[in-house]
Amino acid sequence: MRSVSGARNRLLLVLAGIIALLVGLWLAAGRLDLAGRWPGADAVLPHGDSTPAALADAHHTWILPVACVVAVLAVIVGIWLLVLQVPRRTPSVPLRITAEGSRPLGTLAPSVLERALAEHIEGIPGVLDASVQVSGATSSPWVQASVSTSQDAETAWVVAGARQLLADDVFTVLGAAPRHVDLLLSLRSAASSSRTRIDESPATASGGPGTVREGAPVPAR
Amino acid sequence: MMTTPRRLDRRPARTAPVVLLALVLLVLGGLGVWTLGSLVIDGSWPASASAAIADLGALRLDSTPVLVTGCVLAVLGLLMVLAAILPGGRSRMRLLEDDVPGSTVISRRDLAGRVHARTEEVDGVQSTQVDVGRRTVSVHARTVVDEVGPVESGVREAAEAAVAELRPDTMPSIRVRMRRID
Repeated sequence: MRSVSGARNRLLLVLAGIIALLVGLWLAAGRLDLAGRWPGADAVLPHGDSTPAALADAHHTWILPVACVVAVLAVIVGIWLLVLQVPRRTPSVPLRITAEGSRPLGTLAPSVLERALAEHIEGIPGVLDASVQVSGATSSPWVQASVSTSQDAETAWVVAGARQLLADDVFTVLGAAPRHVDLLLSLRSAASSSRTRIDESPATASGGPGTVREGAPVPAR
Repeated sequence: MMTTPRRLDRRPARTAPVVLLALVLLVLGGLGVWTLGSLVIDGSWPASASAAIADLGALRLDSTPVLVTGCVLAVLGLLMVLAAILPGGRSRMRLLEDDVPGSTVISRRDLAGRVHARTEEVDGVQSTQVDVGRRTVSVHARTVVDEVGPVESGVREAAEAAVAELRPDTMPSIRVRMRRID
């Protein structure tokens, strides 16, 4: 289950927004003649009669190296921001199975358990495809699964069966009940066509993530 | 190392504004590296950009273009801060709660597909369009039948059943709009 860090994105947007806001206000301050009205800030506020060329000449000792560094940093930060938008898996740690008295019995790679759980879920009638991720400690595992069913499947029955099976299997293997069993349900139509169009834009009154246009084919039942 | 997974019904990660910001930084940074690199290495601005740089350098800071640029930057900055602060709507709905700890979620897009498939099977319906919002499911149905009333109630029942079977945490209200076509 891959995802992008929303908290990090929001923090970066706040930082970039504040910088853009300050630069914008600084540029607008020249027209408002704030330097004349507020003599104490004369050194940092722009004067309306000056030009970028005059400012560059006045600060020629440091402005070129700083501008070069800022330009290179902008390119590096831009690339870094794009790389951050690639969805990543939550890192998983090996599951250490212990006997009574904390005597270690063995270590289990989460991927092995995940594969076994996914195959077990795929055995439930109506499940077309499944993937599982196990994270957290062995004593308190957190299971997240993605299950695809056809639209005409008994969805409630499939979901209840899959979640119970995940909880039981994890308890059997690790000896601890999972802290959470989260399940992402995907419904697949039996037939797909190029006439189906689904909007991906943010939710609005006229269309959003949950918008299916007319003309889409009716799935075979 | 963070090993706790993120919630499945999380708020939007604001990927689009960050990608736009990254592209703007790349373009501006690339222009800066090109022009400043030429200035440092050759001792002069690039020939193709020298006229534009000269024009920019001659702009007074109280001129209208500078004021407009400042205002645009301030508005963009405000929008970025707002995009970061406002939580945004969840794109997935929680449903089918049971005794097992944790949650089950479905994307609004999949729910719309389910309602769409069910409502198009109603007798008399030509086609439907379904919008699933945070609190409402809107179905726009087209029919060729003269008497629209029974078709409308059939569409409503089908949509309500399609949603209710999934037992969402908060049952959205169903809105049906019929349009008769010739």
